[in-house]
Amino acid sequence: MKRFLFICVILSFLAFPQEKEIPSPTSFSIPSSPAFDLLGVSPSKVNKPGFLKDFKIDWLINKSTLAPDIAIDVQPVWLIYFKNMDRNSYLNTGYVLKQLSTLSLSVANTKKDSIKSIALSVKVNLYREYDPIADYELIKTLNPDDDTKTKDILRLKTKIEAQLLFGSSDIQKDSLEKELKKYEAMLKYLDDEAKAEAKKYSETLEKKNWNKASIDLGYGRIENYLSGNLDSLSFFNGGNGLWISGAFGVGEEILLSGMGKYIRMNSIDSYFAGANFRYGSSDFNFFIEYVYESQNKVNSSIISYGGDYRLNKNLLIQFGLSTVYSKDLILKNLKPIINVSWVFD
Amino acid sequence: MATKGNVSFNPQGGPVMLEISSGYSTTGSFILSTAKKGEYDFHEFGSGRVDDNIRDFFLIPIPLQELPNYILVVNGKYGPAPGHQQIRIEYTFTQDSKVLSVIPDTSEKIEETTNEFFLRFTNFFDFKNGE
Repeated sequence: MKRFLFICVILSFLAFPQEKEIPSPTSFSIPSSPAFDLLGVSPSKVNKPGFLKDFKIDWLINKSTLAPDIAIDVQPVWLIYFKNMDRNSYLNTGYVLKQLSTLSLSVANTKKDSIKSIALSVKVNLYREYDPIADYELIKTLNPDDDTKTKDILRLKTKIEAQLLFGSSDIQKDSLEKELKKYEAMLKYLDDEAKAEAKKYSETLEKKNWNKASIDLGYGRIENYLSGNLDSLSFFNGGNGLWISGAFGVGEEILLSGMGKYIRMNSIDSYFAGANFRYGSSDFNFFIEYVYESQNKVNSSIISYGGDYRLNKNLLIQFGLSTVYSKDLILKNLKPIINVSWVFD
Repeated sequence: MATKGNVSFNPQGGPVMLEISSGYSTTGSFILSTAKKGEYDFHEFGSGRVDDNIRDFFLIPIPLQELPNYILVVNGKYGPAPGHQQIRIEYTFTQDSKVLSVIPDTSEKIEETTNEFFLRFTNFFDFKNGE
């Protein structure tokens, strides 16, 4: 535990300098890792929809040791094709290509019940209620047109800059530079005020939009493996999984989500269906969820409790306690899980 | 930070146009003004936003014979869109559908990376007879 806390502190120090003012999709909500979702090891079994832009690393702690269960998520279509696209072209992109921009590739490993597994999954967003790039009111508020006062100062500053660049004697130069500094300071003061307003608006918007509706579709492959030494990896069975998850908000503090998942491993079919109730904000929220699992005609129920605590825009700690019940509602297992998500955007 | 570029044009050609284009989901606004050299009394002749889905194409409102006596300035206030950090703006001068050369060619381009909501840019241009 001490080691975990130490690592969290280190992570938060590393993440703080990267804090950005410009909101990104992960400012509103950080989704769960698709590969961890497929493996069923996330603190919340009901997948948390959403999309990133760039990279995310998840570190799962579900046992007493810190042996790493790690997931890496990347959004290749966004990074290769959309990241450098201008806003108008992005907005005019057709539905299919725009949804493809959310395609997320994820790879994860875990050790569950003494079985080591690796999962590779792909997830795409089918619908999202809110896209910050499409929100023109947000864009105009973050980077507003200048008011008359600012324009007047800008005009005076420009006049001095032109004199300095296009012809002034050395005698004039000193006084012009002094005057330029004065107008630069005045302009900076007004710009800082505008940026503070923009930051306030952005924060309010993040609070309002953390629970917007979204639907994700995912597919993945799981391989179980044995590994003694580095050069002795051997896969012994595998399977495929398909899932759909969706969420919608009620008011500003409730997020209701659900998912259906099908996995076929070693000719054994497993079905999962669940619903999650989350209360709070993008910074801190609690959840309770119910998942029904049917595996090889054996049914069980999982009830999980937990939450998300966001240390900053890049670092999220998810925690959960899963309780597994038999079909007769007898408690069979109890498992605490902590997941540290670090977003690079 | 102000930059200065020199545009070569043909005084016998058609009107000189300026197009402002953006990349990397750049947001923000610009103001275009001209002033006579030596007087530096700038008059705005155009403004707009790079993020509004409207093409930003402007006629420079100075007779060609007079153009070498004038300065044009673009006061830009640009920032990255949500989910971005990059800013890219290009100022392209054209005459009779041909792109005019600007020296140095870096003066007509803005490429920046920032975490701030917006940054300010001042790009001055003057004109010379390119014949």
